[in-house]
Amino acid sequence: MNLQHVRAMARKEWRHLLRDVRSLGLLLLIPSLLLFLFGYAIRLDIRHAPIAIIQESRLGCADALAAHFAAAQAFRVVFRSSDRREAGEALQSGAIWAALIIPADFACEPQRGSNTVQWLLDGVDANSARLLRNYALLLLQAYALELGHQPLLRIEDRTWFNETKESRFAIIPGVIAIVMAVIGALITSLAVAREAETGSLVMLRTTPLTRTEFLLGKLTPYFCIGMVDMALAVVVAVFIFGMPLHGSLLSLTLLSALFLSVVMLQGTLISILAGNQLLASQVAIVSTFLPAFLLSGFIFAIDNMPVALRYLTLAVPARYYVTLSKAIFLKGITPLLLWTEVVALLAIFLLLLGITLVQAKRLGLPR
Amino acid sequence: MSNHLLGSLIRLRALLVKEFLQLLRSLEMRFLIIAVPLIQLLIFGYAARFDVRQAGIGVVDQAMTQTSRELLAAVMAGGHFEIYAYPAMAAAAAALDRRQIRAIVRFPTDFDRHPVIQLVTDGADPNSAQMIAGELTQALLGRFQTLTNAQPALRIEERAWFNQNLDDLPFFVPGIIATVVLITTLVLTAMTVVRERELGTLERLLVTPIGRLELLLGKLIAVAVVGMVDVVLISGIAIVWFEVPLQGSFAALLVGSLLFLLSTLGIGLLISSYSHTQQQAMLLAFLVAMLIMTLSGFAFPINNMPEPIQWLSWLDPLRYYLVVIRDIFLKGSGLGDHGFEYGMMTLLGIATLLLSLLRLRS
Repeated sequence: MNLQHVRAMARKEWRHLLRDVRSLGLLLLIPSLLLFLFGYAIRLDIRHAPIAIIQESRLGCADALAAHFAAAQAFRVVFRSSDRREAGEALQSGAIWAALIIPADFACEPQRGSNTVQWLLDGVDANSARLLRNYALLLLQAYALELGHQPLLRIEDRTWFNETKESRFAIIPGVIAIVMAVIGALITSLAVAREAETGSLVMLRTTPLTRTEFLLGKLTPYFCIGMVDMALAVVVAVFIFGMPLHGSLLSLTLLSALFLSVVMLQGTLISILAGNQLLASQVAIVSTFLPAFLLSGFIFAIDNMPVALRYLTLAVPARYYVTLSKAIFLKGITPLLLWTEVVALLAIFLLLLGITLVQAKRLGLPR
Repeated sequence: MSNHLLGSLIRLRALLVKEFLQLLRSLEMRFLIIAVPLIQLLIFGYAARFDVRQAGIGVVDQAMTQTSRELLAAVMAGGHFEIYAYPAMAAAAAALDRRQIRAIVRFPTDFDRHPVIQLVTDGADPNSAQMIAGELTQALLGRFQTLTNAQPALRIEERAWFNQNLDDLPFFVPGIIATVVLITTLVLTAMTVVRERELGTLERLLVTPIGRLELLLGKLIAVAVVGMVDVVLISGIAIVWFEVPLQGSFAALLVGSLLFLLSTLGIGLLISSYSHTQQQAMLLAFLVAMLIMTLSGFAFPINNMPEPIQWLSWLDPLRYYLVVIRDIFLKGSGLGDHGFEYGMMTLLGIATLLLSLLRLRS
């Protein structure tokens, strides 16, 4: 390998990039923009969920219970009524997510009537419905306490690592992984396919450039841009969203570099095999976005998946990156404690490197 | 006049044949259009679950009483959790660090006199933490009440409509249909025009008697057909394989999808009018697709977003499409419902198509 050749190739690619200001701008803008948007838009906890309160009982304690629900931050009362049919219609039209029904025979003292209220939920969004169910139970328990009923059993609930259960902080490391997985694979998948599609690859065959030099020179500028993207994303996370960085910046950087290399190799391999940009880019998006979104444990817990799928997640690089970066950000753990994840990421890197070097034969460049 | 129209139709037919040949020529493209949506549905179908199953729970039982053992048995009986016993809090905490367990239940030594249970959850995954805390609390309280034969002060009786078992899949299937259609049609439209331009074949087409409008129409129809095939394919698999019930009308599903396609085609064309190379088109299409998906409430309710972002989502065609197809699948809507959503999709579709035609004319 001749370093001068690599440098020449890198310089050519760099010029390509600088000349196409739009692409460069998009490459630098997309990750932080998406992180910004995701950070604000993705909330898994519920606030101001629209509900209805149907009060068939006019007792004082029914009023008090209704007031408790109305005051809760999780809910926003859209309407009150004494006719439970209205709740059914509103659920059907999607105007409300849940309805509290206090029946006519409701009484706060069990001997005088029923102590049961109803909570109707729109089950379409099952996750929100489960959260609303939990909120309602908690509210009811708190209200019973206020009525002077001593709780039989008390459960002290504490959360570690992300004490306020801020869903944003749990999501941001995952978003960085997704965005970087897609961007890294996308730009490299286009890079080689473009040379093949426009025919400039044929011209390169007449030069003494070898495969390894070609790939190395090709990827270096993109790698630099990817690392800048990473840095921007971390800046947005820490300074705009106030994400705590408990672990060391150095281990985060090294880890990110490894992850970026993995996804870029993945993109390169796709590019070599696909041969044209349309196909390469589609495959790159589907093969990185979906696994990173669904199988990395970023939103959907891996423990919940069927066994076959759980094994499939072992091949998803984003899985390891999400676990590791979450640990660095939120728990301040050194990656050494999670060495299996680091080793797995390294193994995927070496495997992809091997396959890419073998498949690079297709480029028609000398060894 | 009729001759004119006939000629136009013949040219359009020829163009359509060309577009389909181009789209389906290679094995890889066929794979992309047919197999990728299927893989997407299968993975989504099995992976996208928010509910908690088989989560490991660490138990530190320092009381070792009859009651504490009975309570643990109740937690095990639910089948949702796997119980791991630890002698001391430190060992359990280390396991939580390594993510072997997701929560810790601790019975203090004086549990007999003060019935207080400590529950620790891992906030690094807040959604699961809330679910686990909710389920554990319910199981523990319920068993404690039957053990001590006490009446609860207040009872809540809950019922979930439309999806009694609170299954996540019926919520996500419409979302998968929508995102597959969105990504496929958006990217295909955005790239086909630019591709012809970049490879120089556009100039060759423009010297033929084919008009610009015919050229675009040919491309758009080809992509729309691909989109509709994907809709039918994914819905079919979801209904047959995953047994997601289709409560509403199939006709409404088709009409809703067609109206949604108007917008994705329009936005795709708009992207191509802003791009000179396929790389630019691709990056823009990716960015726009992500924006559209995030703002639509596809996995995360719009209602939870900050106000300015909620306003922005009014411009998102996917937002309306999701409402329409979710209600068709789960609430049994027909063609008569959702006039507002149909109207908004038509409006956004026509607006983006017109805008892109204006830009492409120059």
